[in-house]
Amino acid sequence: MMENNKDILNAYVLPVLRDIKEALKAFGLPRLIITGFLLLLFIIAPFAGISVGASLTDTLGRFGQNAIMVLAMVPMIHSGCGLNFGLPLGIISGLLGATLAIETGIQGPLSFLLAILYSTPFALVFGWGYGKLLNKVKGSEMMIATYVGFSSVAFMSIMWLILPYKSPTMVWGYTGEGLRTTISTEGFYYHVLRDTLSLRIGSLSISFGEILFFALFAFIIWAFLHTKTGTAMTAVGSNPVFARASGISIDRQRTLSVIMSTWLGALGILCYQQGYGFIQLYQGPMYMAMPAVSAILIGGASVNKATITNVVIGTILYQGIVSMTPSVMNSLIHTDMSEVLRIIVSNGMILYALTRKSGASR
Amino acid sequence: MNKKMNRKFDTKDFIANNIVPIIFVVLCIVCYPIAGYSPEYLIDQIITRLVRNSFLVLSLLIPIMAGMGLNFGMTLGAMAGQIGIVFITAWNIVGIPGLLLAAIIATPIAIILGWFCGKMLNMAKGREMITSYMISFFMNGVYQLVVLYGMGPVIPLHSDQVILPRGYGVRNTIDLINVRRSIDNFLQFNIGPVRIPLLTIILIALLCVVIIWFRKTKLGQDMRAVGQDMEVAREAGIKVERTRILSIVISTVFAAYGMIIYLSNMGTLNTYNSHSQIGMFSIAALLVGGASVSRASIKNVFLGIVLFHLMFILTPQAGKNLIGQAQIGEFFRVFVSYGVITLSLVLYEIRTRREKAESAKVLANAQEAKA
Amino acid sequence: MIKGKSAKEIFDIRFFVRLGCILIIIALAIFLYFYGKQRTLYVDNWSTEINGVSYRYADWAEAQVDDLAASEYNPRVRRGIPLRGRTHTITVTTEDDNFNLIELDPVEFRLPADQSIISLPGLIAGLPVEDCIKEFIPEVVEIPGVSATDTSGGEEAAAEEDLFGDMSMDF
Repeated sequence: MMENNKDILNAYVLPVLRDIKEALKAFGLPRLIITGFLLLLFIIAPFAGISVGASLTDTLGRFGQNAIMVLAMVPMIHSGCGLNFGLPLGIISGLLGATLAIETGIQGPLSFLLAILYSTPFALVFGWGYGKLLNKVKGSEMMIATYVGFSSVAFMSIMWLILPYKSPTMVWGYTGEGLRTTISTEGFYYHVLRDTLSLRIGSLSISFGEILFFALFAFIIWAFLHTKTGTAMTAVGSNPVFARASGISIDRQRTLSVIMSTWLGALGILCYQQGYGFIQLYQGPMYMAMPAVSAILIGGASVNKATITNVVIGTILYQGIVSMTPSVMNSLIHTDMSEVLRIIVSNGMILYALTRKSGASR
Repeated sequence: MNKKMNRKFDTKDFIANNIVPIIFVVLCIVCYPIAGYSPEYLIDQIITRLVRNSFLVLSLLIPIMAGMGLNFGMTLGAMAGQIGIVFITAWNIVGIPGLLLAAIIATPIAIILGWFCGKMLNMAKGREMITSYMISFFMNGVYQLVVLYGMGPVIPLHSDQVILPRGYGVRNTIDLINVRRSIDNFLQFNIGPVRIPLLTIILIALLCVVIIWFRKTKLGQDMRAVGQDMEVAREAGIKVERTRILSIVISTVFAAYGMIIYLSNMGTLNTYNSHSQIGMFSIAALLVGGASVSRASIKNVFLGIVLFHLMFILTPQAGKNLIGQAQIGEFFRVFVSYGVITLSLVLYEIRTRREKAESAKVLANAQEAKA
Repeated sequence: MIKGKSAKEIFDIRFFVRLGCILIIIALAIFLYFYGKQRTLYVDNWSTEINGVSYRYADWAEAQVDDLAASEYNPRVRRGIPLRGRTHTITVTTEDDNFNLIELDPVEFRLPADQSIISLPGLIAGLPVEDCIKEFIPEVVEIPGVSATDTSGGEEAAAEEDLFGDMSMDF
């Protein structure tokens, strides 16, 4: 009897346990803690008097807003440029597109298309220059990307004051020149994606418009990565020596990936604005790269490996925590520590990824 | 012929190597007449800022010596210094004894934070800068947790001057009236309208001497060896990891002292953003002085602070006089600080790569000759 | 001969030197804490009641704490003096009804709290200094309709003032 039990244990239970252990190891401890924490939040929520439907709605809404910015990390990680801390550059192209679209005065959903259209050339040009720059500094892209992002935000702060925008919805009321710090998208493309195809079940409402919009681009990126150019890009990132030997131009692939990331960043911020309702100028984009970077890392990506699944899981986990902690904490201990927790979790995650030995030296 | 070419090459090289300081000198010369400040005012301001910031910027030198790049983790030291200042303000301890006590409180905190930072950086060799940068972000969260929620209930501090009316958390800005300029006013004398705070200058000179002396000690030599080549140093029997951690710890502790001097000179503490600002500006100032990621001297520190602050004083006024908006000048100086860091990092990378390629070429030629 | 032992001995010496240094620094910190602590002494010329006896304010008095500048006290005057350390002396000069100057002997006292109040009428009446000095507890005046804890509004306003973010801070 005992023997039998042991056999069963050896034959069935132990391998499963080992598998689970392996899976957990692959999943990573911080990720596990974060997932557990989020689950805990959802379990506590009803007892704290928070409707699960409303919090799910909030989480999904934030997912729709932010997912494309997280997706913007993927091409650069694939080509070996590391985490795109220079996302603010893409965001700035998006902001230029958004402000130009509003300047035309065309209202409604058309303005969203117009904003995408206007931001594209900027994203291509900025991305091209940014890619060229990063090719010159192989090995320390991340540090330089961070500062490229910061300097472009600071530079554009001057530009927002000087550029001759005229639309009364955007400029300061009393001087008539210089853009406001926040501009409402109300009347233009406010909730243009969120309100399409939205489904309401009680307090839960799911906006399929946003999700489909993200899915479309996620699919395009996924498909792209499986084309010839896409595989070449991955080869550049994972094995540059092999890539060079097989005749792939490393610099061109990297530039292409940076352009793609920048353009996705521009698209991402437009998507964010339509859900959030405001265009944030000046200091607004300064630290926007951090949430996106930490989201993809929470999703299981590393400094040199990322998939679309990482993007989806990461964004849901990150945004779930961001939207759940304030309400749960507030109702439990009447103190809103969520902002501080968010800083610790998101930056801690980036730190964890950077200090992992498995990552290539970069 | 050869000599002439050599000389021409040198000029070009000089410009290429010192492009950042040169840009700043030109910028300051252009802005000076537009801003229209009197020279006395400028000299007074420069001296004030020089004594205010030198200690902080000097704290960056040692990690550069150890090959760890610009220590963005100096923010951690600044946090430690701020915690010390918060304590003495809450306890109402005044003057130089207060600042000394703040330094004593800050030291163990800075050592622990520096040790943590050094450990982390050892796990991320080759990307120290971005990692130290993220550490400063991460610790900023921890700092906020401690200061905003811990002080009051967990760490007993009861002072209306420091703690928010709700009973916990430190106020956004704290007036440091008790310690304001107490180091500077001790042994201060005037030359015309220019104030010279002698004690602070002595402290800074002392740190310079310590840094020069430190280079010659065993540890200093080890650090330079580690900075040159980690593997070679390891084979020579140097404990590489320990040396690297020590360099960060020393830098963090000096940064804490520097922050205390800085805050006592400023007279107000912005609890939640003084430290992150200080990190960025100190690094920018050092780079403006012509330092690079791998090479920095005391000369760079002082030149950098003078040029950077000249720009800092001149641009808002110049912007105001030129376009009628001081805000543009403010944005401009922020842009310049970030831009300088970007430019220096990019130039450094390009130069290193070029040198590597050249040495590889030399090596290849030598081997060819041998064959 | 020494070779085997020296390493350990040196280590021990080092350890004790370090311990000693740390202890000295802690001692210095404690000293600084007491030496540098600033306390406020309120010198008060109000009518007061000490041990059940009332004393009327002095019509005129002059008080000097330590070597600081002396200041005059008219009836119902109260002044705060920031002081460092615990033990101080006070010298009081006053007038009698015939306008003769009376200089009281300097008295030494210890501050009982961070905020203390010393009563001039008590001192002039010749009471021992320990009875005249006590902890100063500010009276909270409550104005109806104004909540004492409602200061959050002010901070919000301060945050909004910071329109362009915090990047234009003076360095």
